[in-house]
Amino acid sequence: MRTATPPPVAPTGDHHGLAVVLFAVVVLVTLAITFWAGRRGGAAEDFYAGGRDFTPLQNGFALSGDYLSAASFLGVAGLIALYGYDGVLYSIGFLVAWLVVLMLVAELVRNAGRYTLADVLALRLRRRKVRAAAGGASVVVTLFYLVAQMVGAGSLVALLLGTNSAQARTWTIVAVGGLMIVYVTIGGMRATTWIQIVKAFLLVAGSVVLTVLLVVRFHGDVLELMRQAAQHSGAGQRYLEPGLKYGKSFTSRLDFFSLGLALVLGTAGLPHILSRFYTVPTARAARRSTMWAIGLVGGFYLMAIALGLGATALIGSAEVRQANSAGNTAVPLLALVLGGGNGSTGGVVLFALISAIAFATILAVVAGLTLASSAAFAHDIWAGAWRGRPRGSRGSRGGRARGRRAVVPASRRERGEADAWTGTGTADGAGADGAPAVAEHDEVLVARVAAVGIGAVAIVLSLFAQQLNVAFLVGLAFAVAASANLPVLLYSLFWRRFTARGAVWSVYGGLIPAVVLVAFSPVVSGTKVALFPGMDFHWFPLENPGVVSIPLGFLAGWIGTLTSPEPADPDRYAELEVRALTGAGAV
Amino acid sequence: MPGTVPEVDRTEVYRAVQRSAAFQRIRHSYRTFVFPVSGVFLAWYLFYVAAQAAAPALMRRPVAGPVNVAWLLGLLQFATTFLLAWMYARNARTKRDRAALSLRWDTQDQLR
Repeated sequence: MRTATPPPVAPTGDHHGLAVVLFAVVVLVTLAITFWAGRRGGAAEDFYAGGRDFTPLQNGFALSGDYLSAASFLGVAGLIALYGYDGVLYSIGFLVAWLVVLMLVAELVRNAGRYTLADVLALRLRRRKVRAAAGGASVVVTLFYLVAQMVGAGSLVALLLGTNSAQARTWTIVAVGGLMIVYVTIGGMRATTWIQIVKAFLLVAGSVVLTVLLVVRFHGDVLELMRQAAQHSGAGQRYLEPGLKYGKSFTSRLDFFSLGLALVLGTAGLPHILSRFYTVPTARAARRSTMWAIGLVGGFYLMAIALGLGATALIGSAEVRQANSAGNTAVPLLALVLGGGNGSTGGVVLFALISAIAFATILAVVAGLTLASSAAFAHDIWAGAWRGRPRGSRGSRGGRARGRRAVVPASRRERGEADAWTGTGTADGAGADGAPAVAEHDEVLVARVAAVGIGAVAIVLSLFAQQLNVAFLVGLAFAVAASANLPVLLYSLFWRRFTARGAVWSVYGGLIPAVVLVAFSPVVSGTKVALFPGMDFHWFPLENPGVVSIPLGFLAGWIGTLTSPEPADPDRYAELEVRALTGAGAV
Repeated sequence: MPGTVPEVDRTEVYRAVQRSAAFQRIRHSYRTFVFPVSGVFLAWYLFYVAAQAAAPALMRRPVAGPVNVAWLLGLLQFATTFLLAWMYARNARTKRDRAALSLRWDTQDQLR
């Protein structure tokens, strides 16, 4: 992601004028969407879930929009352009992960939750510390992902606009951060979803155009495309074989296995993906939107493979690497060549269009992440764990397990409490006694303020992390999501005996090892490309912690449950299970 | 529905529904499809990723023209992902959806 040399075949001077104009158009259109969508309702339902009235097709596009970050669009194609087959491996992990989402998570989460991942856990484990743990893990995951996207945005936009100064990168990061705060605070989930839909449509359309031009160029002969790519890669046949990037030693192969594990299990724990399922009305709609997403994501990665090969075949790996050491500009450069080459109108227009799509991609993904992060903070940590604590009724801890079947007033109190915990009350229902409605209004306000705060934190972190490799940061976000969020989610949904202690241990048992192992990995110290290149305190050999931290997350949840002082509450599990599988009582 | 003061014991309703034959059938058809299939696709994916590390020579073996075993397996991963997603959706549509929906209304009637 970091480079200093300008692209040799990239347009210079006035060629960037068109790109600048299109970038401005993207900003104006997204802002127009934000203000148009922001006018419609400011209830929690609107802010977190976009009113829950999106169709499966719309949400399928929005899901793929959230998922296909600039790291996928430019990064995966770039990796394929540089490393051939090893780049292909990436795209497969990103796709297969959707089967986990489809089969184990999407429908059940839609039925059991309300706005966030922690809602699902809170339905059966009504403990503040469960909510705080899950909300905290979600904030950490989204922050990692957010920093990755913004660091990428900085170097990428600067590159696409033809400047490489550190100042341009810094201002890009600040501007992108400012825009995403505006999208989220004003538009909420509805605006964010529409931005994702528009962006995903543009992304797919742009990829189709490039792929068609590429295939026409090779007269439909894909094998010839592969041969040409191998020929111009500088590595010959090895370009088409595994091991060009991850084959030097056993450690690097194990590292790749670790990354592969994190990719396939991480998606189902990404907060911004999970919250998408609440924007459709039913579990069936959640399933159908996932099906659309699988089709779109799969089709997109197939095209990305072709485009990566095409960049190598038509431009050559050496030139791609010279333009950007991580290969991130391979696709825009390919657009330039396919449009007719440098200096031609077609080439310049196509280059500008693809660059603008990449820019829209960055803006859309950071908006989705900021929203998920502010929801986790406001709904889980602030309203659920901090404000939602049962005030003046410490005895209700035990009472919750036994006293529920008692008299009506007790269950009434309990239900009020449950509203704060699981959010089974709704905006209209809250009108009955007024108080929760005020709380909801406060909560949305807190969420908006949190979006500003999280955006600011992300801007600052990104400015410091500019030297870090973006692909690594994304891989790390997936590893943390797979270690901290997935075990607790799967245990809650499927394990009858799972307890609150198991949940808390599972979240921290995955989160802490993942973060600690990264801190002592070669990414942070001990190598030339590390965060602190001058120091060496690393003892963990792998860059991606997944292969260790994911099993630890599952193990900690299991041990925590077995050693739990109190058994699981079968009543709560009955409610979760019935609600998750049938939708009875779902909002 | 939400918001009203619950006149019935919600816990008892959920426990009763959970015990009912209709729910057990839905649960059974969900789990008997999802658990084995998840095991299969995860094993197949991890086998594929591990093969790069454990058997690079096998993965390099050419199949047709520039295509080798690694590319073939990679494209098969795409194909199986699409296939399994379609099978899951069909299974849910034909085996579960109708029963789940009617049980949902039944349960919500009891909760009212």
